[in-house]
Amino acid sequence: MKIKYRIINMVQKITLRELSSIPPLFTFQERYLLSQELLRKDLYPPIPLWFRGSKEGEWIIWGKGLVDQLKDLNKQEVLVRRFGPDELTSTDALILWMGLEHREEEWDSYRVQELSALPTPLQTLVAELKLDLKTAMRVKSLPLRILEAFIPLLETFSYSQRRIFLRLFFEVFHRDQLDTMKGLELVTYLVSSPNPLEELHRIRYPEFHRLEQSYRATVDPILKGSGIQVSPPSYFEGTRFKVEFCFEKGTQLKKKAQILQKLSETIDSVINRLTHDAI
Amino acid sequence: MMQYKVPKNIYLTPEANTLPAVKHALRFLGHPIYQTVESPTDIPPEHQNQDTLFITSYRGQTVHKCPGSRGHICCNYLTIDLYLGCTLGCTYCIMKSYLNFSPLTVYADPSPSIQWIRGLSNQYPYRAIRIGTGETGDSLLLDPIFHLSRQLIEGVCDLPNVYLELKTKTAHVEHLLDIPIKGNTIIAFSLNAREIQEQEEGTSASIEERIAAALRSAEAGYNLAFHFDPILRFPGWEEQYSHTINLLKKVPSERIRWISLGTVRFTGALRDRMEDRPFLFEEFVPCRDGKFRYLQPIRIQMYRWFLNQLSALTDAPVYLCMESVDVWKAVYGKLPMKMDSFRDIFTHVPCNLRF
Repeated sequence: MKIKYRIINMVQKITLRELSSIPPLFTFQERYLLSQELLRKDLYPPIPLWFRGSKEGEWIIWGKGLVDQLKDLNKQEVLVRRFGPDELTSTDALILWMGLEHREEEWDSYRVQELSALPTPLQTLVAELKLDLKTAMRVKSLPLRILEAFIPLLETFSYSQRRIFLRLFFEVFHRDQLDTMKGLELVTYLVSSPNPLEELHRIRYPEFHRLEQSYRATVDPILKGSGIQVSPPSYFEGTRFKVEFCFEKGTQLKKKAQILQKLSETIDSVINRLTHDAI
Repeated sequence: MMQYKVPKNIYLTPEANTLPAVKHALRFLGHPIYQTVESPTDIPPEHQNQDTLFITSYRGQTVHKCPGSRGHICCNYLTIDLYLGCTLGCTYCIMKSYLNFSPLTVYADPSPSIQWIRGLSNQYPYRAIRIGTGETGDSLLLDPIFHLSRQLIEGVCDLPNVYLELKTKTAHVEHLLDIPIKGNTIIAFSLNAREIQEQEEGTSASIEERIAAALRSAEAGYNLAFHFDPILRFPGWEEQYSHTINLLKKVPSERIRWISLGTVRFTGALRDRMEDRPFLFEEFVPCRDGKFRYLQPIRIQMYRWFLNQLSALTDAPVYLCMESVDVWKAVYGKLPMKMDSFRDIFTHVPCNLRF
């Protein structure tokens, strides 16, 4: 493709047909989605095109989402900004792709390089601000097929749930020395479970959950419907239990005291499990 | 045996290069090129790392109380900063969370510390003052270069209530063996399972080398201490730690002054800096001091196991490092200050002098 250098690094309009012949530099290309009003008035950032050299040709750095929107509006032309071979580095292109220059957080070249080295599903999550770079870096060694299999599930989580889920999965994957097939089986199992995050937590922390289960099995049947809450020490660290209840009359208090009396006869088994009968 | 690595960059403060320890070190290192700076902040940012050695003399109070850990029982140890930082490269090292971007620092003049200890000894003549140099770095890693421990030992060896502990993961004891009067100096070795030493403790000496060094130290007249810290849980941990404990049988038990136990613990910040080592895939929960530890029942089980094994070996007190009241009660039935064998160790000694 021939590039007229007089138009390099300038904003210009080209036809959508011309743009559709230019390949995207990054797989993920749907970051910018703007309101129809802004698009109609051409109030959108020009799509950056990078001419990397006569051999490599010209590439769209980002803008696929915008182009699709413009097509829907029956627009014939699109605003682009062309860059020559020496005007950008791959890192610059990545920064442009992510629109990083508009972000509040500091992105130095080291972090951008870390990002560019991530597998595509993680890169996409970070680019879409759905995952922090630190977590993505930690779990990047997970097989690509597993990461891809996760995407629909991860979309249903909040930002922090996504972080927790990925870290937990990563730890289980390595602890249990799973291969890709076993990992995919685990993904399938988690996807089909009613609460994937809770289930994964149970798999990651089996002893903690055994303690909790044993506690619940002892305490819940006695306290059920009583309005009394007995909380074990946080993470079963320590031996200090907390009892909470409300009452309005002496008879109510008496009833609660009777339930607590009953609990006091069995609670030692839980306390012993915490401090004496080690796991 | 470990090889000494000449640091890539050496910086000295102006007054430091007249100190005997520095003269000795420069001679030992083959008179390397060094630069003089007024303070560590003058070291260029690209050299602010553990490949750089920064040698200085004195920086205010040099004796501190061990900071302990909120909500956990501390043995009220006093610390002297001689060596700040360590290049052994243990994967679990707490110093990684705050020292990675600082030069390896040597406070090459122990005389203010010696004066301070002498003052404390005089102020609290009936209390055992336990003091060590292994809090912010390995006591003996760089010591054959600087010989600072020799100065310390010679400076406090006449004080009957001062127990100077030099704690190490090396076998660097040769330079200390010929000191004629050793006083209550204790050479302490951090111990672990052989597998853990090989996989997690960087360029440290092997467990066998440490035990051999302990034997040489005992033969030369030193008292000894051992620290199983951090204790890690992994498949076959009992067998692996039994092997190390069996090696301890070679050591004259009457020479052992104390043994401490501490299961692995780390802050969230440290976890972020640590590689994903297999031991980190165990179950950890946040404790009252914000550090992550094994579940309480697991820690109790491990401490009981160690206590049982070690009590067959020695009468020396075996205490827990940075553990909670509940764990102490579950393991020992009571708190350390209620036990005669621990009272000396756990009695608080203020590190401030009254003038």
